[in-house]
Amino acid sequence: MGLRHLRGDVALLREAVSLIREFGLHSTERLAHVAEFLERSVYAPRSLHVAPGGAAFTLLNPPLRVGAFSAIRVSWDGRSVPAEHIFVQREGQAVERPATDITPSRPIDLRPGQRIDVRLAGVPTGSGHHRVRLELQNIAIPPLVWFEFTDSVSEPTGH
Amino acid sequence: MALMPELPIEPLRELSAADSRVPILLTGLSAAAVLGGTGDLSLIRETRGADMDWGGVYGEGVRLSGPWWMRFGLPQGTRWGLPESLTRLRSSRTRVESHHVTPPFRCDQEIVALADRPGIGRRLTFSSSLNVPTTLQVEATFRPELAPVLIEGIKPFEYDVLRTPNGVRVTAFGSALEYATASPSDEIRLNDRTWDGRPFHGALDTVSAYTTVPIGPGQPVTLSYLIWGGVEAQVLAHPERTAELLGTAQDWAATAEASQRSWTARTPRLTLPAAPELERGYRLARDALRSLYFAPEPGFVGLVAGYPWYAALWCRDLAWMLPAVLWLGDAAWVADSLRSVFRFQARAALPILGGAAGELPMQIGPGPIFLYGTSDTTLYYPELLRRYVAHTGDESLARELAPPLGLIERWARGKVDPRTGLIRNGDEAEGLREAAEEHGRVHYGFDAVDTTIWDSTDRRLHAVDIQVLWADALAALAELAPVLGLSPDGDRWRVEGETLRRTIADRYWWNEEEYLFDSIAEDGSPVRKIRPNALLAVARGLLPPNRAVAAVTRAARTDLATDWGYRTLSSQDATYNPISYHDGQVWPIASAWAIGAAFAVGDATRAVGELRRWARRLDQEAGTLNECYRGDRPEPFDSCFLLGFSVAPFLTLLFDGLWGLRPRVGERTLVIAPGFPPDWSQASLEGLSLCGGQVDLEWERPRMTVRWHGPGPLQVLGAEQRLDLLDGGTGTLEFSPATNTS
Repeated sequence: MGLRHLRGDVALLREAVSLIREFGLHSTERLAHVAEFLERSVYAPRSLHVAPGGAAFTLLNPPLRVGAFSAIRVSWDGRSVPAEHIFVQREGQAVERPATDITPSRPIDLRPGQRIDVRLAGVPTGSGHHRVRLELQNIAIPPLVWFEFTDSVSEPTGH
Repeated sequence: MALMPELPIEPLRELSAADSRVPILLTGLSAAAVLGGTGDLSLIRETRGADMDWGGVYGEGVRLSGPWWMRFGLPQGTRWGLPESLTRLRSSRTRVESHHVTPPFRCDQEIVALADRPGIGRRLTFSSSLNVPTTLQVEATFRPELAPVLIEGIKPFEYDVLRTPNGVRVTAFGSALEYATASPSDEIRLNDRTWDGRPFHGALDTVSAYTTVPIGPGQPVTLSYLIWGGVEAQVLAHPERTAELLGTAQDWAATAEASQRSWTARTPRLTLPAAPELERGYRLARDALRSLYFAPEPGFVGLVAGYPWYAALWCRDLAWMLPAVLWLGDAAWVADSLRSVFRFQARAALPILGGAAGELPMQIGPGPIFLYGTSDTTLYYPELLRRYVAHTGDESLARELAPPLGLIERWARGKVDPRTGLIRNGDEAEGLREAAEEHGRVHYGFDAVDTTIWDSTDRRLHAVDIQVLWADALAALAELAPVLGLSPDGDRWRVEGETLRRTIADRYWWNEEEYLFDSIAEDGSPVRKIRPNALLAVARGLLPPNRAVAAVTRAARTDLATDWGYRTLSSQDATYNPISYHDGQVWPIASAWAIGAAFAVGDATRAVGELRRWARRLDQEAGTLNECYRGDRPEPFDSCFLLGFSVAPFLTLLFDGLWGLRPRVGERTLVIAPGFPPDWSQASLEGLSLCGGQVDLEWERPRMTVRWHGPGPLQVLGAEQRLDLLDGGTGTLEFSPATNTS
């Protein structure tokens, strides 16, 4: 755990105390439920695994924004993954779509509760934790939606 | 068989065939049903560019269920549903009646939002035309959601399910729902698999309950179903509620109707012989606003922003709604709403929630959960409080909120650039972004850099409407100063506000366009974009008359104005996109700014023409009004089908603009400066609540008769005349034919 993380935890504790004092324990509990909900409901825990030619993982929900997306970008440990190496498969669809196929005129629709499998070809899957960042561009609301998680790569699990 | 013949429905919509895209909303004070025109709780709606099903039950700020379907079957296996058997559907604000025929069976359904409980009830009455007894299997299937409405697009993946005496309880992450039926179910299935009733934990897509209904000749049978819930702790605290609610199923509709009618009876009555569509628009907008009322728990009162996906308190949106609620005579709701918002004012910095000391929240959901991080929300509230005090004469709320008002002033001063006196926008959410980076192993967010009402685009650093709101806040504080016991500060606030108003008029004037710049950048250069937000400055009378008229004329050009409202950005701008939320789409609220500006420059014909258009659209949309439309054609896109700030400003403008009414703080005085068009000759307004009494206004050109019933005197000021009325008193004012509010 780095010092930066420790600083974060202390700051969080201080804010939690402040919240309890100002708004009551109920509110803090409810906020904690929401935080837990957010943390556990998008990235399928431990789903990052070795896949043919790279790695893959599963999202259980789209991150904070639904609708039609005209672009999906991914970075792996801070390095941008080429679009031709990114493949997305929504629950209920038979085949993967390469990110190069996702455009403003051919967006990908993401709905609540819909699983999304993402495969990244050519990423180094060595031991240790990897930081994965997704960026999604909605066709109606311009600000980029981003999502980051850190996990280690497991052997194939059938995801 | 007709349902509840003693309670005739006043339909907003009537359908004779199923239409899954017609939005229907039923609401109580802590519940809502969202459905389409099929008889089931299912509504297909384009959302952010993709079709989704928003149907279901909402309670206490939680989307309890997704779609909720009914299906029917015969022992020999024939099955059918409500949509394909629909023969007639009628909906009002409080209930839906639908009738379905599949020979020999008939089903009459009633769907009701419970008046004051977080639930939705469905009653289905089955009859058969056969001369012999028969049976029907009824399947009720719903998708659990249990996602707080404040969080977009995410539903829990795993749930806990418990069997209850009348059905099931489903929980996830602190939210809960109870599904129940008065008739025992033969079988309950989870994910379409038989369930033995033992506690279940896991992925859950559907819950289905099956009931066998024996139907005798001429003997209709009624089944009652219920889904209610919200915050888990509240559900667990009321173990008796399911049985109580099922026991009163026959009264659900009457109770909901009585609640609605009792509220409506207290609102003013408007008569406009020259504009019947405005009268109808008034009634539709009034009832739409009432459908947004929300009181899920003690100390938590307000109006939700809209449906289906903004069904929580958004305090900016609430600020646009409360003036209308005040004019409609529900001052108590306004007071409770203000208390609810101020209860969540940040007393200290809360970076994890994006809050700075003194800031009012952007959003509040039951629990409560809340989030800060806007530049404008906080600035609305001094003026709202001023309106409340002027309207009611109740000064105690202002005194109660004096310390929080002081915090607001300090918060705002911290954002003022001392060199220019202009207030900054755009840095409010930075703390939230930094805090989010520091906590947890999963992070997410938006790369939104700005925080104004158009928060998906960059309008940094000194957006013109934010300056107007700060000037409004200073003026309101100045007017409230004697009430707050801060008279010396009042002079300072007044001078500062007037200086800011002059600064806005000078620094933002765009000579080439005869309009106002949208913003001023950090380096002091003007942001040359044409947006309707600048019209707020005109509406507030900040510009000299010739410039104000020029700005109204400029805004009416077709790059900004369309036949269905005002674009958020000129179509000539390089960044214009007709489907971009805040860079091209048409928003009804922008029409409010244009109409306010037209009234301010005395152009009643233009203002009333726009109000008529607004009213017609309310009628076309059956008493709801969309959040926004495409910029290139009058088609909703990425739009809630009802947004409070699409209907409330229409109401406010009828009182503020058309009737030109302005009560004054501390004087029991009503100023009247009507903005009736030159070709009108009659209008009346009865039952207007003011200062604890009621005012009736009756205008027959050129005379306006004013009647006052209430405790104490009321002073009424016309163009050049003054009336001093006592309880029961009547007086007359005269307005010249060229009457306007300029």
